[in-house]
Amino acid sequence: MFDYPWFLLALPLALLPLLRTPIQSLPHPFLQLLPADPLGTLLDRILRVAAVAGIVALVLGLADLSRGERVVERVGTGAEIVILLDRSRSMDQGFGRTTGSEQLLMTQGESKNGAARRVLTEFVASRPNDAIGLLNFSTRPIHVLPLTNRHEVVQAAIEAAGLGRGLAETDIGLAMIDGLRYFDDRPYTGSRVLVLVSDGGAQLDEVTQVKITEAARKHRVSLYWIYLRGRGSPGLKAETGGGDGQRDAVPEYFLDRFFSELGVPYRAYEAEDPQQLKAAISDIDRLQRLPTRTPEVIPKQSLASITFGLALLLLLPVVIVSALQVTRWSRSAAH
Amino acid sequence: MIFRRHVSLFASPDPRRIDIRASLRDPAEQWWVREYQQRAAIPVMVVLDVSSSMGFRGMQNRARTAANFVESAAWSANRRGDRFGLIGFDRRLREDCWLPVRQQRAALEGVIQHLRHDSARDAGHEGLAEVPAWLPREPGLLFLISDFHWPIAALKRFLEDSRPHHVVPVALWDRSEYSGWPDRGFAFAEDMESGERRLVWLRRGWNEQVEAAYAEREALIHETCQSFDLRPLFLRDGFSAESVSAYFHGIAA
Repeated sequence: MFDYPWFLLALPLALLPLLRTPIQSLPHPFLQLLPADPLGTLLDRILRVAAVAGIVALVLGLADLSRGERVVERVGTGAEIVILLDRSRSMDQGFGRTTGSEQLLMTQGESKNGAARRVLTEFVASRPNDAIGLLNFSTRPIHVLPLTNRHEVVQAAIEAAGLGRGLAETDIGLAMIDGLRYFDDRPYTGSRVLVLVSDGGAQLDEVTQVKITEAARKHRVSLYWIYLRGRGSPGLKAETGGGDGQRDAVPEYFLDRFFSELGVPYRAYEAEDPQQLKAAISDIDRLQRLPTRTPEVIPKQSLASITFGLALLLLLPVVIVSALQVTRWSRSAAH
Repeated sequence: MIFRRHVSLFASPDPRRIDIRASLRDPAEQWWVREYQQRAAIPVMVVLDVSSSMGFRGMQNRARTAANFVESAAWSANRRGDRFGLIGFDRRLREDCWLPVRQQRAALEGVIQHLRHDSARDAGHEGLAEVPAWLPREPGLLFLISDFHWPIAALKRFLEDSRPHHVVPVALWDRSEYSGWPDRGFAFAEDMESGERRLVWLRRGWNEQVEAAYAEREALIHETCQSFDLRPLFLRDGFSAESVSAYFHGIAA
């Protein structure tokens, strides 16, 4: 509480203004004759009380009053969401279930990319309190936006992800590492969400796995994988038999299993059409809307500036009155 | 006994004092009687308040005004052959401001110097109650010099107790103490006797308010004295023989 508690010994000095004010007096032979001056009397009281409080504040300031270290439960209101959006060429194609006639007519429904962008736009619009970062990835991760609260920029960035064609390769591992890096050096204020939107899985080497695991645990990230299932792509649930080893050969299986063993909240959504995509996103929206309660340690804070500021303020009336004091009669000769 | 004038026997029917020579000289053949004036020294006393408030310095130095008054009263008493005495008081009788009723001037100078040069002063007025016991028995003229900044009841009691004497209450006031407040600012007025301090916020109208309070006080003193057939003398601008003379002429009128 106090860094220099012995200064508190000076606390009785605060009683001085009650005994005497540091203002020279004007001797008068008979005060009783003076008319009552309630305003002056009130001012006198205020002056003395303020001076007492001012000296108390001064002493507390000298003793370096501080608010001790304490733990408060903080309710997070805004989450931090990093969206990893796959921009590989396969994303330009439609969803998995296309009818034969569509194939024949070469008419494609809405592309996976387009559907993802549309749904993400709605998602972003529905969460005005969150900080959102966007990272596109293909062969290499492309940092589009750091975590920001300026949602019009986020919307524009999501919109821009539809321009041009996707690239050939997909490196989810690098994208995950870079996406998790968005949380570096940020205070933990609310839940952290990493939304991976991709239409494929990937095999990750040992080093990448370790890096992802460490970063995800360190940043306490909730992971959501929205798997946009393309034509002919395998589902995440085991549809065909086979041992774990055999299934791990399929990147999607592998990634799903790796994520679920990561040690952080994880959920995968398989979306085969825009409706399922939308359902997945609204599910995330619902899950991450819960207020996050986190204990936070607030370090010791010195209140010196407050106490000294208060002392200045409280002693000001005395200074003003003493500046305007009169100690002589305006008509006086015989001095 | 000093001869004063002749009066007719009818005006003063005392045949023992018939002046034969004056009667014979009178062509109208009236009887004249000699009238004598009694040569009596009446005591003149000053009862002087020497409390702290009497050390007030405003436009006038109140202690000096009081000393001047005492000196002047003593001088004129001496000239007329009257006896003069001085009794000082604050919370008790003050022996250092004490002159027994005598006709000698020897000790007077010293006491007046003592009064003039601000001596150590004490608060209070309670000594006034003891004064009557020390007054001479024969009736005389008594000046009560004070600022009367103490309860009126004490004045009333003193006037009752000093009955045979003709008392002239002399109030020493100063224009500073009631109309000399600066126009604005703050003043910690400190009572010279009780030491009480009061913050006064000086603003327009304050002087008028104080003047009104003093006028009320003056009226009260007047009223109290009047009930004893006395008239107080207010000296606001220091001592001047003229204002004292004017006072006595006012009484004669």
